[in-house]
Amino acid sequence: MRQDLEVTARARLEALYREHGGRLWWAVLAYSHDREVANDAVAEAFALALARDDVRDPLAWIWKVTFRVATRELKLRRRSAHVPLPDREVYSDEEAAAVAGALAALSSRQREAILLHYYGGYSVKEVASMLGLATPTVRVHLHRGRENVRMRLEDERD
Amino acid sequence: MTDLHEQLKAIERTRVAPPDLWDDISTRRPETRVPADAGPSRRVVFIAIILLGVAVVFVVLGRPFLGSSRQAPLGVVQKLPNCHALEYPCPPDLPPIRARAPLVLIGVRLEPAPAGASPAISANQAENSAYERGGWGWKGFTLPGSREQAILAILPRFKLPTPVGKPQRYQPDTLVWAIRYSDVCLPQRPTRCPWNAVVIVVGSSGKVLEGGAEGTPSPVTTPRSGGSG
Repeated sequence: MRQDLEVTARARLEALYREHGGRLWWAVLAYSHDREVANDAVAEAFALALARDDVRDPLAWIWKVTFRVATRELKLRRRSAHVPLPDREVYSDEEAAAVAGALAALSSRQREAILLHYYGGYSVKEVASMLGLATPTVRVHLHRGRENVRMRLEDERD
Repeated sequence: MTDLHEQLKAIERTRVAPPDLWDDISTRRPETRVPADAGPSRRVVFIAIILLGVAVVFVVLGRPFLGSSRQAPLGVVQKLPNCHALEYPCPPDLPPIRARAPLVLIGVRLEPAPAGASPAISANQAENSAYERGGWGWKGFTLPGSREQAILAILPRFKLPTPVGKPQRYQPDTLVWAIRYSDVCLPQRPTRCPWNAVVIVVGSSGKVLEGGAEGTPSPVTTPRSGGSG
């Protein structure tokens, strides 16, 4: 019986991965500018979800954990003088590279908030819960992040 | 910038597609320790424990001061005495009443207590507190009056005790018991009677706020002694 449940949970998580894994990977790539970090963070978050059965909303939890793992990985890599690939070698066109470049100019918190809210589709309250921040703080991060992205993209066009 | 949703879709245009990580996920032994999203986080639990500890320490350390010369907060019920256990006898007691109209006692204006107002301490407790602390139990006030009555009323405003150099603070609309003693004789030289003495006691704590006497006494040669009822 327990084995059946585990099989069902695994199948459900695989379906979740097949449906959302790509978006999550792109989000973490835009967050970290590093394919290895994106691969590792996504795989680690899904593996963690697979190992436990006390997660109420697996997808939101995986998004949260993925960003947490990516942040930790980036800290480790910065210590080892790791240099990520330039955006123009990662992205296939100028516009995509410009958007990624604008995101790279944000603070880590602003970038997380922008990606979770505008790309992941989570509400401000959900983002606050995921990042362990107060809702007004997330609003500030979103506001400043939006302004910074807008200015960067305008500069890029000029 | 409402089209940020749309603009961010550009990040999907990568030269390399997202890899299939499922095999890695299936065989991977996760190294990260992350709490589940059920229940409060460790940080919340830690802060709650710290706050609880501070509260316990505050209560334990604060307790000795309640009975000392330090003034307890107005809202804290003080340890109330029983006047029958004191050296001086209680005066005869009339049933407590509620003030029905504004009244002025020993120069203090009191307002009627609202219909639903209910003090934390009883009239009897307030009388005991007044008896011990309000002057009635002081050495000089050894001569009980002909009767004692507690009146429930609102004290619209009184000055809070304030450290020297600090601005004065006032407490508005406090529910009080005004304990009125009639026909009190004071051991002056010569002893004078009758005075009407009043002690005002906070209804939530038993703290004595004010005490005094008023009337038009005249000297008497033989003061009454002991309780008369």
